[in-house]
Amino acid sequence: MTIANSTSDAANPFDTTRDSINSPELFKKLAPENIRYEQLSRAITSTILTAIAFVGLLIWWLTNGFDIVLLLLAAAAATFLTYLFAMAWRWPTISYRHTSWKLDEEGLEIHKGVFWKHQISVPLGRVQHADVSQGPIQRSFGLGTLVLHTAGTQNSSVVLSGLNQSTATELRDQIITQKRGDYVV
Amino acid sequence: MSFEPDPTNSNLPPTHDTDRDNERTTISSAYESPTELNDNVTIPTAQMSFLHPTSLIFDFLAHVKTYILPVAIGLFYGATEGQGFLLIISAMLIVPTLLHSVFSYFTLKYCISDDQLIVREGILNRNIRTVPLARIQNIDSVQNPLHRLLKVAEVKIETASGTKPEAVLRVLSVDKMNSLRTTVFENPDHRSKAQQTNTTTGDFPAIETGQSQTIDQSSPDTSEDLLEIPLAWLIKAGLASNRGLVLVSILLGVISQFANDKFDFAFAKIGELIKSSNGGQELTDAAQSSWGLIGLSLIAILFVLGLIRLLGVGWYVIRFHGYQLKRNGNDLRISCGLWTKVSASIPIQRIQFISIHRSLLMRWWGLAAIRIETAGGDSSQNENSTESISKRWFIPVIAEDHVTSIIQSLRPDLIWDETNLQFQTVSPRTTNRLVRLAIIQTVIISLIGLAASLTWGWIAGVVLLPLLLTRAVKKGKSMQYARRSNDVIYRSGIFNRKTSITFFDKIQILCINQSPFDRRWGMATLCVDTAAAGPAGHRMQIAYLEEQFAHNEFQDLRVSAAGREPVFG
Repeated sequence: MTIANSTSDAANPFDTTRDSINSPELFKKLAPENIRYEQLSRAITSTILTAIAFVGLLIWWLTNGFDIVLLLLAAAAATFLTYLFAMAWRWPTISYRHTSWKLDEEGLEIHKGVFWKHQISVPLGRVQHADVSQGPIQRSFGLGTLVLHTAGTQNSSVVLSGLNQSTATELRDQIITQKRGDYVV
Repeated sequence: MSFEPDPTNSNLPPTHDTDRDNERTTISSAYESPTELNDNVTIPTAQMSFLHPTSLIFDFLAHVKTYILPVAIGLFYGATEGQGFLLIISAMLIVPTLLHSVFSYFTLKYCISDDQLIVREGILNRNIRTVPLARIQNIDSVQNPLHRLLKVAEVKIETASGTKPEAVLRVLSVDKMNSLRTTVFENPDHRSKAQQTNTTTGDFPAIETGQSQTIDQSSPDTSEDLLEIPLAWLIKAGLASNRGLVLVSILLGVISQFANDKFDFAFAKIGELIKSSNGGQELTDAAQSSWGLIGLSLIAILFVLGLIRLLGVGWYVIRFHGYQLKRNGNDLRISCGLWTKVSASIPIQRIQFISIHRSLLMRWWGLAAIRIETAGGDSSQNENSTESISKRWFIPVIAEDHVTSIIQSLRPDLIWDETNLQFQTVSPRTTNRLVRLAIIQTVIISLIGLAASLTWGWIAGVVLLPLLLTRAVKKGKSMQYARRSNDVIYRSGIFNRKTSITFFDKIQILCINQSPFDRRWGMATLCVDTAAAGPAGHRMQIAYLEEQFAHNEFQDLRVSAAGREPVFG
């Protein structure tokens, strides 16, 4: 039932010992390439925001001239953007450490969240259908996103993003064959 | 050819939209719809029949309902004040609707042939829908007074899937509807066919093979009366409910919409009266008049409160008069209504979630209400009649001593003994946590109050503190959780006590959420998500559990949920 995942770093899936009851040796990490991917996509977003801020400040300068307000705004923008870039660099690593998943006889279980922690379990046989999707940047990293659709209400689709494309496809096939053809009744 | 989800290619996007135009046939809900799409379905044109002729009226009314107010106002002003353009605008709204109704009446035909219900509609984009009779789960009907006068009914045909009825036949004559019901439900093939489809697709598994066989052998007419609601219960429930509040606010809204200037005028008049009465009484005693005013406003408040309760009673009686719950094989049948008669059926195996609500007044009178959630159907806050009768208002009111037997009849393997349930309360430190939260809230409110007024601002805090503290203590004690061999039970609520049950085979997703505060306190929230959650008004999100306990329950529930195929037993 375990899925071949050469990149799994099963030894230490959590940085805390709180979850020791969950037999952590079964848990797998996301693909390590996901860190680079997340950094890149966050960097792109931050760059776009920087460009917007720059244009905004430029317009202010051209209309109002150089004054203390402009200086304060620029300082605030610079601080915020520096923080954004720092987070774009740091956050994917932190988030990666706190995300793991396992597929066993009971179904798929996902752990994620740094400050707000979430454990999600999709019991066997409740998956209505499963998708694997891949964005253009994800494709260049060989990554994919697994989306499980259930009949549930609040979490009707469970998303696991940042798997190897091959792992995601394999996982999808396993979950689909597990589902034994039962529906909501 | 069927469009059941095929496990091997279920990652394919639903592509029916493209087929739709080519084949000029559609299926109602793409993908998981059990409706079958036959390219070469032979339509027995001779057998096809129109809906009842009065459909024209009802279809028109149903469509015109959405904009009847502005149009009526437009027509009124146009006619009385000679504003021709208002008449034209109103006509521009009404005439297309009228044309649409005429067209849809003359293009919709239906028939039953070869164990299929065939509905054909549309002129340009012809739409042929075939629903195998064995797949039909419900035939629900709504009859308002006008319907009853003309001896017709609006009929909704539902299958297990989908978010909306498979077909709405607006309207059929009562005779036609009854014969449709007989053909569908009392067709000798129906039960056995349903059984067959179960075993092949696992679509809607039978309850207990033994039991359903005995039902098959018995005549299909046998229905067991489960509950009838006497008028006295309805009146009490109406008195206990705040339903009237909603009605009063709607009423006020409508009045203010209708007669804005008249409303203002009335207020001005009242103001003048008060002024003049004050002026008159100034000579005698100013104090007396103020007491009189206070008395008057007290009477007015009492009157409004009484009106709210009376309206509540009226609503309950009109909506649920003659309520009957019957069990017919594996289906529950509900019928009720004084003016608008509604009848709905609920297949027992589709019940996902059962919730017993007991508000404060209802507890005093020994009453309760039961809501259920069923798979399929619309889970949104759609207040259409059959839908909300079969979910939100499943049993609007029931005496406490009937609850146990009703709950047990909702599922064969359910044993309900509420007094002896082994409940697990949430973490004992919850009270500490909530009390601390209450104190922090009070401090913040007091600070805001003090910022507003230094002399009197502290009052808000002093008044709120005992209330918030009581609430915190009560809330901590009110939350209870239990797991049994087949089901999970959660109870919460201080004033309105809600007890909900769901079953291992109905659990769709399990999760544990922990906020930073939760982690500080070593607590966690366990969520049990089922399909179509919402109408019961009680979510299974059990907060303030001990972290370790929550994790253990999570793991145990995972195993239990996966171990149960969605079949009973």
